[in-house]
Amino acid sequence: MKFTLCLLTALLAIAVGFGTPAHAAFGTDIIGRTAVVSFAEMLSALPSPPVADNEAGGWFLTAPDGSTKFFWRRDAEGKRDFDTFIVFDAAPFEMAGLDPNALPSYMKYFTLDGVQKIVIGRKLSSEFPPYEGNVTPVTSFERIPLYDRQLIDYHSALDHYGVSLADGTVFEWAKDMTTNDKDLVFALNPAPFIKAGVDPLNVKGWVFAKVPGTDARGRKVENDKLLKAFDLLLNAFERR
Amino acid sequence: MRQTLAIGGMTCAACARRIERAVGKLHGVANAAVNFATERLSVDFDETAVSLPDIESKIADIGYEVIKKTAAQDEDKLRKEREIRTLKRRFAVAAIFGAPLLYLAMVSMVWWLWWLPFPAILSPMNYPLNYIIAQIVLTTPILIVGRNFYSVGFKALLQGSPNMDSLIAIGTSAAVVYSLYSSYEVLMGDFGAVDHLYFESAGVIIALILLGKTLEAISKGRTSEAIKKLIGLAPKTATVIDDGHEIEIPIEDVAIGQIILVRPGGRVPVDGVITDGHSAVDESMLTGESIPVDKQPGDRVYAATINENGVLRFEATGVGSDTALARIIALVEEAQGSKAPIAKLADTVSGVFVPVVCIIAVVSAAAWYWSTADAAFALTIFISVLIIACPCALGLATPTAIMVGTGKGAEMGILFKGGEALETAHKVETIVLDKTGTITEGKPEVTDVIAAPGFDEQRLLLLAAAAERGSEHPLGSAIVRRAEDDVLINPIPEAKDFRALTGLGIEAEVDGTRVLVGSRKLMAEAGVSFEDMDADQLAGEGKTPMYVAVGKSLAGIIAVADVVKKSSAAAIASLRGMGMSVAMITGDNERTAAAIAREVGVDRVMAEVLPQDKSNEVKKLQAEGRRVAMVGDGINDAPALVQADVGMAIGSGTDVAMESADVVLMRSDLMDVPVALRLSRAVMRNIKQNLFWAFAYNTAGIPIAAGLLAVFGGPLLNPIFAAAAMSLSSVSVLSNALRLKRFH
Repeated sequence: MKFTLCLLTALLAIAVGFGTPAHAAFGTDIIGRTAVVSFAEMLSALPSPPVADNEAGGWFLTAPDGSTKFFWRRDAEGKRDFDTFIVFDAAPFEMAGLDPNALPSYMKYFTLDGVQKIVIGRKLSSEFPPYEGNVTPVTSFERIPLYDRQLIDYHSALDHYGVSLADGTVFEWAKDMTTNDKDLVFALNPAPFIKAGVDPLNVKGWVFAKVPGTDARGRKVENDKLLKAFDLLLNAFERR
Repeated sequence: MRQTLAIGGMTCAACARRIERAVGKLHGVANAAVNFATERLSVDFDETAVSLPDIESKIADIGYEVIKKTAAQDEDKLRKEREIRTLKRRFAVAAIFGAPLLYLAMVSMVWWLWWLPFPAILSPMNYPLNYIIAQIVLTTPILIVGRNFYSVGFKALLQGSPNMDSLIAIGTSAAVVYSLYSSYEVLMGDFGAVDHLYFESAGVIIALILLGKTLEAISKGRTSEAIKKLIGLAPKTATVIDDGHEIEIPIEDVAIGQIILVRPGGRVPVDGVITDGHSAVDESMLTGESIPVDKQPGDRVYAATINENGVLRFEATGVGSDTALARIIALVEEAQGSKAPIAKLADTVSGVFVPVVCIIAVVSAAAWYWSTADAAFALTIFISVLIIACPCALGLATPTAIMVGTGKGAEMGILFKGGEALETAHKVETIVLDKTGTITEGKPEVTDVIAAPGFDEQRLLLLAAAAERGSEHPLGSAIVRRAEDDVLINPIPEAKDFRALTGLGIEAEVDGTRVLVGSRKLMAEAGVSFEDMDADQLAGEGKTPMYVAVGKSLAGIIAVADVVKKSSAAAIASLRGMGMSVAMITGDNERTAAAIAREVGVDRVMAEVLPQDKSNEVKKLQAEGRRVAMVGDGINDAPALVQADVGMAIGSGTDVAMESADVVLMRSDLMDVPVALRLSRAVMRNIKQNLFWAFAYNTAGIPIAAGLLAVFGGPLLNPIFAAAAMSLSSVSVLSNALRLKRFH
């Protein structure tokens, strides 16, 4: 009886622990909760803070080299094709053999300020309750794990969180920048580019590599990726 | 004083050893032996130095329960049924929670199970906390139903006598504690620690061991079915004649001297002597003999036998524990609870097994941690070694086979008095058979009636029977019986002036004529001419010829002999077929003995042996290096039965013979001797198989669990498979023992 009582008490303690207000929004979704915390930390380590784009109705963060950006919506009505996306220069891919017409439909190839760009993204949930308090890049981002949780991944091999965009394209950031040398990562699925004529080994500024990981069920997998990674703390140190 | 106590709460052979040690240390206890299979403690103690309550208190102190004798067999049976029900319920709970727990862990971690459906909300990579909580929620009820493993196991560990439960408790606790630590790591943000959860190992191990325990309890119950059948034979009530009225009273209330009524088809409730009525009584449940026995006033009847066709009234002479049935049950129970010498090896190994396994587990885990620096891997090794080790299989190997074997023997009317008798019987090379009552019926019968010229056989028999009626000599009784059977139309005439002539025969007057019945010497002394009739051939056939004279004339010869039982020759042929040397021992003269020996086909004859010398003859055979079994029935056989390596008393024999023997053959059929020896061989073969598998399992299993194969690049044993293998090892030993039930 004592044994049973002890066990049930321990179980109750665990249940109560996760029911506290601090965890109320995410409940037992520890990854969703900590993803937001580390995303905020990552934003604060960027050389330039994210900027609001009223025309697009969201926020842009820009990679330290300025070549690549990540967007997430701020307003209920996304004003572009995608509510969250990455956008990057098309030139390195074109130089590596890209035929833009061969890109899949979920990628947008367009010209912005005279520069060819590629966009990969997706729409988000239509659920969009009003903000409470200030609207910040973090409060906007928080809606992704809250209402589109399936898009948030934890990549244990690299200790990264990520937002899945489309067909293996992921925007990732380090859970703990102090122990990670890849704090910000843009990861593309090379398959559609290869299909569109790109030689993945010759895309300037991007690294073609096999990335270990697990799928949603924890299965060990290895995926080909085209990566653009940044060590934000190192950059910050160099900036100082 | 010797007492047998039913013990509850034992879980493995180490528990049995622990009780033996604790009770054995008490001042005044000479010997304490626990049979794990029957859950009985046999203790020899000096009542002046230690009391039974002291012994019971010691057993309770070390965490076991003494089932009170007053509760009797029914209570014991109910307790065991309750135990099986509880185990089944606990296993059901463990299975209900264990199956999804295993599914959750395996499908999420084993890549080739990707095709199985899995709720995304429990994905360990995306929702590690949900995954952990689900595992804890599923594991908790399993730990609750398996709490006995912890309470008993840790208690035993703290008292310095770890048992199988200690192994399970340490192994699964290590899995749970490490998993809780990993859960804490996840909570602290190390989501990779979700790979290091072992809740399912703990849960599934407990579920599998509960399954093994349930199957073990069911199988154990089946090993004592023979005893249950015997106990179930006794009726619950008896019809007593009291002051001319029939009253039905509980069997416990029947007193010696009361007159009991048994109607056709009814079971005899207690032992007694028939006072009125004739009937055929089916005694097969006691003797195995299928043909009903005719009973008449003066004959004995036994509790649990079935009255076939007539109404019987009898006086109770044996009630309660004093009936033949109760004595048989006690004998079988004692035999089932006894240990065979072969069990000593398993007992010794079981006694040191658990501490040795703990040491192996710690050393191998430490070695792996030192070489790989992988705590999770070392933990897997630690748990696997603790869980795969199975002292149960070792502990059950011998007693279960003995239980089933002795039970099977009892069903067939062959009572082994102990494991030692069962073991020794399989080594026997020479069988010594007493002649009278063993090879022969033990009751002389008329074999030949040869009338002299001028007399007919019927007249000869009537005159001889009339003269012998006053005699109490067995040879005379045989003639009277034959006359009563054969000469139904002409009644046996009355005789007068009967006189027994010591060493010669008898003399009486029948129908006014002097009749002499006796030896050749009697005829010679009486001046009767007997030369015309030759009795030498009859004597050469082992028969006793008796001359009958009427007046001064020889009327004929009546030959009497102790006839050979119908099955004797076949039984001896069967024994010889088993490679045994068969000898016959008798006090008869060589000529008679040789005649019987020829008829039944024994290898060796020991004739003209005085009763007191029979044991010396057995000793001589033993001095030749033979293992000897002696089969006899009389009081005079008792010393030889004791002297022999295995003494077998045949059913029609005396109580002294039964007491002196190691094996009692309830029927008077010599065929049961080869059956008993074959059964003994089958049981010993079974024990050796059980011990081989139990040792082989542990010898192979523990190194594999310790990662020996992994050293050479081979697979590592998952703790769950270790638990399954451990449970199966006990069940396989029990199943093998149960095969003996098919012996025939």
